[in-house]
Amino acid sequence: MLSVTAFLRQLTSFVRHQSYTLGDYLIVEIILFLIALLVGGLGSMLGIGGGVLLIPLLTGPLSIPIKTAIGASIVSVIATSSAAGAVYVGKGMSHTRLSMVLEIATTMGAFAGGLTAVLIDPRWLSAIFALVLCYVIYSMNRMPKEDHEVSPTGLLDTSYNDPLTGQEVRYGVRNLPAGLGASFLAGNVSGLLGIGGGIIKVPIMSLVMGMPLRAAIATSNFMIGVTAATSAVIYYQHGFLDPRVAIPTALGVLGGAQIGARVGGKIRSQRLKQIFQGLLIIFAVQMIFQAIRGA
Amino acid sequence: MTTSSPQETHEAEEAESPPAREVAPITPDLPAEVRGVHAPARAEPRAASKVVHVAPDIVRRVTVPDEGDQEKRDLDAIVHKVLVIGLALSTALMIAGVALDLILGRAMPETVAALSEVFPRIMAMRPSGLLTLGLLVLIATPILRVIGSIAAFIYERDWRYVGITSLVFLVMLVSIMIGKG
Repeated sequence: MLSVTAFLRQLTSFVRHQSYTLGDYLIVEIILFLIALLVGGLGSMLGIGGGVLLIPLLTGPLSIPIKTAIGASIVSVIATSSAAGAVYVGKGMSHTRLSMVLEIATTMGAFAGGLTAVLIDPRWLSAIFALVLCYVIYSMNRMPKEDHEVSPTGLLDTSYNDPLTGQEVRYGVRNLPAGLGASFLAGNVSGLLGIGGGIIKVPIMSLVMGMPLRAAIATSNFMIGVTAATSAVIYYQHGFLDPRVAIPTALGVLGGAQIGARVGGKIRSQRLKQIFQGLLIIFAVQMIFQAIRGA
Repeated sequence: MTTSSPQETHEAEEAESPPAREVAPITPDLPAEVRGVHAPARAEPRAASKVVHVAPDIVRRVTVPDEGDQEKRDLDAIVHKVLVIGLALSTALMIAGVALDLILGRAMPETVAALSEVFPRIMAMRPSGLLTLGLLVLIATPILRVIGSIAAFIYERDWRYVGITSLVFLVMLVSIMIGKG
């Protein structure tokens, strides 16, 4: 395991302005593509941009600087959201009007977060990332059961067809201010760390706003693209986007998201959740180390 | 007057989309009880026969999705189209850029091209121009999706959502302008 890590670190030396051969470079591009393919698939199934997996994988085993990783991640977060969003919208599962309302808060948060990310020390970003990972692990345990009761409320009522039962589910929205608050926070974290922020919105949308879990995931995923684009324009103008990392990552995530969004509606969320949580615990420890070491 | 379940659906839908609109046209000279009735069998024999005579497809007319659902589908269709086209275009550009890089036998550029550099570089057949444009199209896709939604809401005369969506667009514009700083 250690030698594999050392090997990868050797290969990715070019990102840190060291010498490399074209062969090394091609291997890294392929590795980045494969990692992104996996992350994209898993991410779109869970309604999460995949950034919480991608950034620790890029900064840890591949030793890519965190700001470069954030830039690559935000691009692939947009790709995931657009790809999965297109599929979900096609199925009518995203609540388009609600997403517009909540996007006011997410874009404002992303704007503030993006500006902060540009100014802040990279070690702080690692530390905040570890903190967010801890919250994500905790909040996944509070995730609601698959089939909690939903009902029309007279506020933004809509319906979709459940992919498992084929039945029409009608529901409305409660506690819109809480949803707006969560959306601002999610947008802020998204802009700061280059992740999607779905993990912050989805529990609130489902538990507090009373949306069905699948609709909350689809709607959140749909909003993430607009949120991420808001901070991506800041990253672009500040040189966070390294094509050598961002391009293979974006292409891989796009491929993975295409696959993930198609199988995602049919897989039970429980098993996915457990796999995901296990990975996140490892990554949280890793990010704490990176914050201390300054990698 | 018997209220059938599809009619309740209509009312809930009306509450969601503000502008009032007519339900599918029903022949106005029908007796009141027939207009509200879902299954013609429940009405008096004389009225029932009249339903068949005047509007044989009344059940279908009452149960077709109302315009609220129709608008939701229209909006979704626009959003769907923008997302798919944006993704296809950016993927094509990125793959073309990578392919050009491989043909020229060199590594990808370290940094993205500045906005003013993108088109000159594409004209000069430089991979960095294609790669940057691919990334920019990807980033622009959600922004275009927001603009498409504004247009869809204007077309529907849903002014409240025109305002809401324009506000989202405004925040993105501010980010583009101030992000340079």
